[in-house]
Amino acid sequence: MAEEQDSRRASLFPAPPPFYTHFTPENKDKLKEFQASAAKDSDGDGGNASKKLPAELVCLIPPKPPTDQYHSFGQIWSLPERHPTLKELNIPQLFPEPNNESYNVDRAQELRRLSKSLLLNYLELVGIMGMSPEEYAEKVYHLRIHLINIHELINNYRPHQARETLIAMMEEQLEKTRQETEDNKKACAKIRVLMGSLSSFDAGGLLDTTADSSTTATSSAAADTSDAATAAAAAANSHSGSNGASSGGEERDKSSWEALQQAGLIQ
Amino acid sequence: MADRLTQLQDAIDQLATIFYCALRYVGAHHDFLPTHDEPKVRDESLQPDPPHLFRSSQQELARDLVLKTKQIEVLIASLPGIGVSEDDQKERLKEIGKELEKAEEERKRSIREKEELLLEFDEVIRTLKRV
Repeated sequence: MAEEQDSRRASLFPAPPPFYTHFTPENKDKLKEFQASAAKDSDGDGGNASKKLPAELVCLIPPKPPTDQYHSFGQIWSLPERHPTLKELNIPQLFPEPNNESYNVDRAQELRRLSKSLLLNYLELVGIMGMSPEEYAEKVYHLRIHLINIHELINNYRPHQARETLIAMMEEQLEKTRQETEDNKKACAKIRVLMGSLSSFDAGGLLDTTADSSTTATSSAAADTSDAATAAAAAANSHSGSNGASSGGEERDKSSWEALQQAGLIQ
Repeated sequence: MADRLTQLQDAIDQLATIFYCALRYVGAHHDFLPTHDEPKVRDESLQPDPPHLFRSSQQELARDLVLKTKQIEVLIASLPGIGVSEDDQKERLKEIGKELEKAEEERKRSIREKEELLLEFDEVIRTLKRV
């Protein structure tokens, strides 16, 4: 039985646990009934309802979430999740415990020291292999410890690098935002300049053309009603508004819009 | 491209591989030297390389080793944020966060200004049209 369970746990796609057959609609209903009656009873005597629960119903109540550690795929995980220290893994630690001050300087120094030591150990291993090859085990063990320590040190460094990367990204974002603000301000200034020049310019150039169109336009009462409200500013010669004139106006509107787009003011 | 730490880890792993390869090469391809006038020992599982090739291969392996070690040293020296403590980083993060907020607000204001100007400009063009 135990072997069977082991093989089930170790297989790549384990079979479902045997109690899955208990999850039937009838059992669910039974559980509900049971809980309802238990709730009634529990007014009288404490909470030993689970003891009276029939075996096939026990599995229907989900277990409490683990608080200390749990097994998953044959491994033990601690809660809250964290990286096990070398000591917990029974591996000698070759670098000093971190002390908050100047930790990072130390870390680079330690890495350098360990890598040198690694090379030296290898040299010794090669020497041993030349003299008495059967004594390799100790040196290989040393090499192994060194490699593990280096990796551990590097992995401890990762949060530091993550923060560093975050800082770099935020600085980049800041730069981008400021650039965009700057561009927007420049565009606004350009528009202002253009508007200033237009107000002094339109009286001469554009009024001439409208005068032209107003002579061709016959009076039209229908157009007045729609335009009169908004055209107060231009009321001086506002008996235009016939189809011909307004289409001419649209053309001008369009061309000035294009001119603006060319100037890069409107995106 | 991977980050520096991963590069460093990869380099360390490669160094370990070179360790192994070097020993294995020497073990598998060395030749025997007879002492005094004994006959030269033979081992069928070994395929000795000719002396000059063996020598140059050895040198290449040694060069690889040194090169990798140098590379590791360079990587260590270029690790990001050396000499910056965690508190410094947190301080800097907060600072940048505030600056970012400010810049973002300014950006929004500039966009609003631009849009308002655009409307104004639109108005100007409309009045022109009706003149």
